[in-house]
Formats: sequence, C-alpha cells, structure tokens
Amino acid sequence: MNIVLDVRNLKVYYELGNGVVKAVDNVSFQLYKGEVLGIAGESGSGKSTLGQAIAGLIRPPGRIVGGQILFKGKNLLELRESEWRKIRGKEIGVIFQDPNSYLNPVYTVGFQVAEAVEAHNGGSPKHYIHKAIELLKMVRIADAPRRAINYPFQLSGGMKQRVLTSIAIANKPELIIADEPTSALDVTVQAEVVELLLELKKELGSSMIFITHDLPLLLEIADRIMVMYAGKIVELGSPHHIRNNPLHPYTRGLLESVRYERKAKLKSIPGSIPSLISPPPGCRFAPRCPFANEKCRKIEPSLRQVDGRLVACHLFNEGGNDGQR
Amino acid sequence: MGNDESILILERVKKYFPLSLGLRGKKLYVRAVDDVSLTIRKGETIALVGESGSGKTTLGRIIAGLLPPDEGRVIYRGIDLYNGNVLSKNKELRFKIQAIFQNPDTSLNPRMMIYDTLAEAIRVRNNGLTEEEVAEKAAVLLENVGLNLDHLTKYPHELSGGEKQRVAIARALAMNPEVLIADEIVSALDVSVRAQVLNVLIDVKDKYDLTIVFITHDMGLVWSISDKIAVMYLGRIVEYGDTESVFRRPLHPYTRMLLTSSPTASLIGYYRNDKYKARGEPPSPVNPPKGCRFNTRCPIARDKCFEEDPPLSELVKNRWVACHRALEED
Amino acid sequence: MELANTRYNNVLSQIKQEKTKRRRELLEALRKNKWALASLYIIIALCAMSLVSFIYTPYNPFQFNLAIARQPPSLSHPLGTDELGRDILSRIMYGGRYTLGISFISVTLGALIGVALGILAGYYGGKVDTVIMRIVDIMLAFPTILLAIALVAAVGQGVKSLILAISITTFPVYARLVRGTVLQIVNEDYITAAKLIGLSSYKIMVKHVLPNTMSVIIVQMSYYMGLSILLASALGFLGLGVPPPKPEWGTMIGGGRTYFFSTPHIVVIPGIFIFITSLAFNLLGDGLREALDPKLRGLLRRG
Repeated sequence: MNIVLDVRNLKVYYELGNGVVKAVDNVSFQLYKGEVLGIAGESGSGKSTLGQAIAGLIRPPGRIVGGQILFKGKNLLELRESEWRKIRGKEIGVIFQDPNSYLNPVYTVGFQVAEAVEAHNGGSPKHYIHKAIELLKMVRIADAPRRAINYPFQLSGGMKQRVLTSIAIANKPELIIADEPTSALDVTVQAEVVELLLELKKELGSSMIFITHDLPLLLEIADRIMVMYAGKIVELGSPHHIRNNPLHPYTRGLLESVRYERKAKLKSIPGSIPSLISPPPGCRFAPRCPFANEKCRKIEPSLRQVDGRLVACHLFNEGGNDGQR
Repeated sequence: MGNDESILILERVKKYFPLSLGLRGKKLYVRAVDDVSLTIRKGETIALVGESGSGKTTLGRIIAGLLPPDEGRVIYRGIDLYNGNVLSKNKELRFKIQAIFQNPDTSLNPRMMIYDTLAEAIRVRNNGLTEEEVAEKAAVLLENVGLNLDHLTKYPHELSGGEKQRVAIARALAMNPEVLIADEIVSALDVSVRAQVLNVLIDVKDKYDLTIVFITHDMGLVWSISDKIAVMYLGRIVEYGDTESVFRRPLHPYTRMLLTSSPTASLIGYYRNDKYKARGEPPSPVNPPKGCRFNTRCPIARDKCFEEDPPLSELVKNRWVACHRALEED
Repeated sequence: MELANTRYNNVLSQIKQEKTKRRRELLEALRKNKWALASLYIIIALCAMSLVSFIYTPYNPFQFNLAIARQPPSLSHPLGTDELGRDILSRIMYGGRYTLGISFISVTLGALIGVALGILAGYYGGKVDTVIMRIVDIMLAFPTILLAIALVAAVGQGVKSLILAISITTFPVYARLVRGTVLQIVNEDYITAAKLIGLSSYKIMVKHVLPNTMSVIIVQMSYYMGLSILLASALGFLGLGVPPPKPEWGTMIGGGRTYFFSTPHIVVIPGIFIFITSLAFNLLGDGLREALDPKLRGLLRRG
C-alpha cells in the first residue's frame, strides 16, 4: 500500500501567556493513497491544529515542537518557507470551513481561482482565466463563464464553498485537506458538496483528510476514521468497526450521543475536556470515563492493534476483546 | 401528549421584507413567510424544520409575539396577538409566550449578574415579593435547569455556552409560560453539551406543562423530542404531521431529500432514498419560480408542478402535504 | 412566608456578599492602574484647591498692585504675580472654580443630551433616527471653536454662555457614538428577552441598553473634560470667555500674553494647570473604562 503521508510523534503546542497548550500531543498515523481519512473530534481535540500542521499553516504562538510529517518521503517540517510555498496549493490543497473569510470580497471569483493556478505556473492571473472557468465547471458551478466574473457576495454559501474547492484542486493536488468544509452549510447543500469532493478525489487520484465534528458524516464517507480527544488519537479504524463495535469509551460516548432515540433523553458524555495546559496524568479521558481504574489514571495508554483497528485504552491492552460491555 | 385543545392558531400568516434595491423602481420583497397556517395543541412539542431561507426563524418570532405579520393572524387562546397593542397592555398575556434563541453569547446582559437577570424576570412576574422570596425563586429556577447555586453570583462571561442557554431557559420559565419557542437553541453548542441543554428542556416541559415550538435544522433532534413536525421551504409549510409517521413515510420530496441528506437521520435509519439525493440550490426568496417552489430541485417534478402551486392539503389522514405528486411516487 | 428549604437561606446573603466583593474589586482595579490613580488624586487635589478658595486664598485674587507686577515666583508669591500685580497662586485657586466648574457642568449636560438622543435614535430607528441624526450631522459640520464663538457672540459673554456653548458643541459626538453602540446592542438576544418579559421601552433603554454603552460614554466624557477645559480657556484667551477680572485660567493666559517673552510665567503657569487637568481626566477615563468592564476585570481576577 502506498503511503502518501506518514505522521510520526507530532507535537504542536501553543505558547500562551498563562501556559503551554498541548493541542496535538504525540500523534502518529499514516494516510494511504486514494483513501479518505476522516478525523473526528470535538472542540479541543486537536483535529484542526493537526490539519493546519500538515498544511504548514502553524504560526506563533503555535509551534511544532517535535515529530515528523513525511509527505511522499520528504519531511515537511524541514522545509523552508519558499519550498513550502511550492507544495502548498500544488501538491497539498486545503479547503477551510468558512468560505466568507477565505475569499477576498474585492476580487472576482474567477480571478481568485486563476490566481491559484498562476501561483504555481508563473505569468499573471489573466492568462489563466480559461483554466479558472474550467475549474469552476469541474466543481459543478452552473453557468461558469458568467459566475467567474461575479464577486463572492453574489454567490450562495454552497457556491462559495465550491469555489474554495476549485482553488484547492486547481493544481491537481495529491493530498486534499478539508477542515470542516461543510459545517457552515445547510444539510442538503452539505450533502452535495461532500459528494462533489469525493468525486473529485477519485478523478484526481488524490488522497483526502476530512476533518469534522460530524461523526455520522464520516461513517458514511470515510475509508478510515481517526477519533481524537484532547490532543491524542484514541481510536482509528474502519467505519464498519466504529459504527458497529466502537471500543474506546469516548468513541462509544460520541456515537451514543448521536444515536437519537424516539422520545428518550439525549445521551451525553458527562464532564468536559481537560485542561490542555496541564492535562491529567495517565489517560486524558479517564476523568470522564465510566470504566476508568487506577491504571488509567496513572499510565497513558498507547495505541494498539485490537480487533482490526487501533485503540488507546487499557481495557484492551492484551490485544483481546475484554472490556466489552 | 396532552389533550386536543388547540391553543395557538396561525391563520394565513405572511411576512415580507422589502429590499432596498429594485429593478426599475419596482419594489422587491423577500417572502420570508408566505401564507402559513398552523394549529398547535396544548402539551405538544412541534418541530419547525427547514434550512436557511425557509422562514422558520421569522415564523418563530411571529409566533412569539415579537414580529407583527403583514397579513394573517396569530391567535392564542382566542386572542389575536397583534390586534391593537394587546401584548403590551395585557402583561399576563405577554408572560404566557416566551422564547429562547440561538446565540448563547448574546442571550444574557453581560453587565448583569445571573441573579439579577433572573430576579428582574421574577419581579416582573410577581408583584410585591420580598428580597428573600425573590432569591428563593431564583435558586429554585436554577436548580430546575440543573445548575448549582454558585452560578447566581457569576457574570455571563464566566459561564460556558451550555450554561448560558440553561440560564436563558430559567429566565423564560420565571414567567411561568404556557408556550415556549426554542429557536435553534443548541446549534451553537458542541454535540455533548447539547444533550445537557435539551434534557433540561425535556424535564421542564413536563414540570411546567409546556407547549414547545422547537425550531431546528437537525433531523436527529426532531426525531428525539418532537411529537409533530412541520417542514418549511421558502416560507411555506410543505409537510406536516406526526413525527413518527413523517419519518417513516415522508411524502413531500423535500422532506425525503432532507432525510436522505442528513447523516444523523441515516444513522437512525428510518428513511433513505437515493432518488432524493440533494441537488440544486434553493431559488431566490425574492422571486420564487412559477408553480411549486421546489420544482427547481425536485426529482419527480412534472408538468403541473411547473404551472400550479400545490396547496397544503390533507392527502392522507392527519398528514398534510403541499405536493401534486406525493402519493404517486410513494 | 416560610422558606420551605433552608438551603435557600444563605442565597441572599451570598449574593450581597458577592456584590460587595465585586465593588471592592472595581476599586482594586482602579487602584492597580497607577496612572489612573495618580490622575484621580490630582483631580481631587485641584478640586480641593478650588473649594478652599471659597474660604481662603493667600491674597485677594482681585487686588492689584502695580508696584509688584510681573514678578517671578518667590517666597512671598509662590507662583509670582501677573501683569497687574495680582498673586497668581490665589488667582489659580479662585479660577479653578470657573475652569473646573464650567467643564464639569457642560460635560455632564452635553453627555445627558447626547446620550439620550443617541439611545433614542439607536433604539427606535426609522424616522426618529433619521431626524436626530440629521440634526447631529448638521451640528458636526461646524468646527467646534467657530460654533462656540458664534454662540457666545449671540448670547453674550459669561459663565452661562460658556456652558451652553460647550454643551451644544459636544452633545452631537456623544449622540453619534452612543447610537453606534446601541445599534449593535439592540440586535442582541437579551434585549429581545427583556421585551418578552414585558418591560417597557423606557425600562429597557435604561436598564439594559444604557449600562452597556457606559464604557463608551465614560471615555468620551473624560476626553471632553479635557477638551472643554481647553475650549473654555481658548475662548477666555480670545476674550470671549469668562470676562476679566475673573481669573479663569484661559482668561489669565489671554491677559498675560503680551508679556510672554519677558515674563512667561504669567502665561505658562495657568497653561501648565490646564494641561495637567486635561491630561489627568484623559488618563482617569481610560482607567475607569478598563475597570468597569466586567470581562477585563475577570481577566485580572484569573491572572
């Protein structure tokens, strides 16, 4: 299997006035060619920081304090900014959540797409207006030539997100990082944009990292799902496994909270995420975990292969299936 | 589920917002609510569902007595809410209908202690209470929403989003309302926090014998807590009925599209049909298309759908749908 | 009424305790800002000095003695004498009544009018807003000094006209500033919540809108204290303010200006007092604004 991205022991910390926030704390995983890896988590899980780190977008007070990000064998963290600029926008494309802040309101949409092409091909954006229209068509914007001369405010939320997508794929990237690309959209628009993303990924032969808090969405579209909590990976497996037999208590909690039952109280995970400045010793989920024991509170569990996927939980330490309720 | 007493009736309500730009002097309007009629019965929780542009928030405000409609009436227990200044003259009436909104950061006055926010509501509701009595009522309210008494002396910025929303619920309950409109009250909160807030809502519903209008775009929540569902599209109700019945057998193509597109609905697993996969975008609310408003995106739209606007009719017993072809392609 | 549950007995006392604690914290916050504290002391000292002048001044501020005119500061006259031999220290003390008094009154008056108009315009919107804002726009079109001069020329010289002139030239700015803040506030849900409770528009404006505009108002007021002192002094300097022999500080500068190059202290000393007072109010305003914001105070707490 071809490994496109190999993240090893990545640590991304934010140095703030009142302490150091360990947003991503020793995270390792691999991304295979052509797959959609979903990263699921709530606020404070570190998923967005992880995405930004891979895209080379960490700025002070954030800092990458350790680890490696191997993209096609090269360690991205050793690149200079000038080398980064060659990769970002060309081999790695990024789509963010809020199309309103990522599109410049004073330039036409077509110009901004053309800019993305020009950035890696030299010349001036004017030369690429045809390519820009082609790209707009590729993201299924109807009446692309007319839309190209529209300004962002003339487009709907869904259309703006498609424009952002076309900018991200303008140079046929091998890796597409999508950070909550549809969270700001209506559910029917979301469904369409997601479908578009998956088709594009197939057409371009790219691999995708899809970051979102919407676990049910990932269950539908991801090839593998990585669940993050308080800066760590707690579980990584196929949607089949995660849906039918979630092992980590946090994954179970997440899933239960969206398994709405008719006329029943909603389920939630009691408590809240721990401080990322001084996380609890041992397993970070222990304070909220109904199964936590002494060992959980002292020793941090490491990711281990259990039942066809990876879990970081002492309940599953010996590779067996103990701890299932 | 309460008796059959209808306590809130909307009759052909319309609300249009003028746009300042017009083509050649012709005034353009956004038809936020375009002819909505609805009956709400005591004790029921009705979900008002729709996406952006559906008009559900505007309708919520009209029901809450905050926004006078341009046409139509809102009748609460026989009283037309917008006839004259009845809501400002009759305080008792004003107390009966309360609302909570989406944004936890603006729901509370940032300069007032939580206690004062609640005390203000309590004092308006009850004349001549002593300080001790007000304090006691405030404490009881907080406990009813699952917050401990320390919160009384805090300021809003010291509370989390979920806590602020619960205080907002407490404030609404201080008025002893009969009807509560909850407009996307958990959309801005993390998934795990939503449960805290919504479970409180479920608790107080029984305790205070409330009738709830639950505005949301999240089908999973609708399934969980509502008795009835009204689906809105471009200012109209396109489907209405018992939640369970609508989820198992949605009749309007838009409802089918909503259920098919929603990952949480799929997880629950009651309806999914790829024929109704999401496509297209809602047309402009300024200039709806001729015929059925959904015809630009509907997979089964034909001839009549482009000519005539289907009225909301009881196609099946207790099931109201605005569609010419709903039963044909069931 | 018997409290069914004795747990609630403590609630009220806890609340009262917390409120006292918060009030103390407000003072603490003010105290922490050294500049603001110093400014407060200076202002208090100046006010005290002006109040003392009602019972005592070292010399009669109006008594002139040409024999000792234009003397630099000395032991007998710590701030020297002016062009007519009057003791400058006594005149400063006495004049403080005018300078400070006129500023306090006109700033307050201007604020009252301006804030009221701003809140009404922002809250009601529509025609009310349009009418008020057109008036404000017209007034803002005039340069402040010219407007003040014109008013004084029309109404005649004196303390009352100064107060009128300064209030009229300053209220439009408050109005516009406050209206801007109010426009944001009225969209917030707690205002809607107040309407749902059935509060009258007046109560909503006073209890909910006004307190949330306070920080803006206070900064503006302190800025205007400084500015109105300058304005009154400028008019005095031009001969349009408080007429001589009354020792308003600006008038003192006006009187002594011919002698600026030979005996500058006649001009410079009142000038310094004007400067210090103005600066002190600005710094105090900054400090007050920070201290009054519960969010900022919270940060101080946590830190």
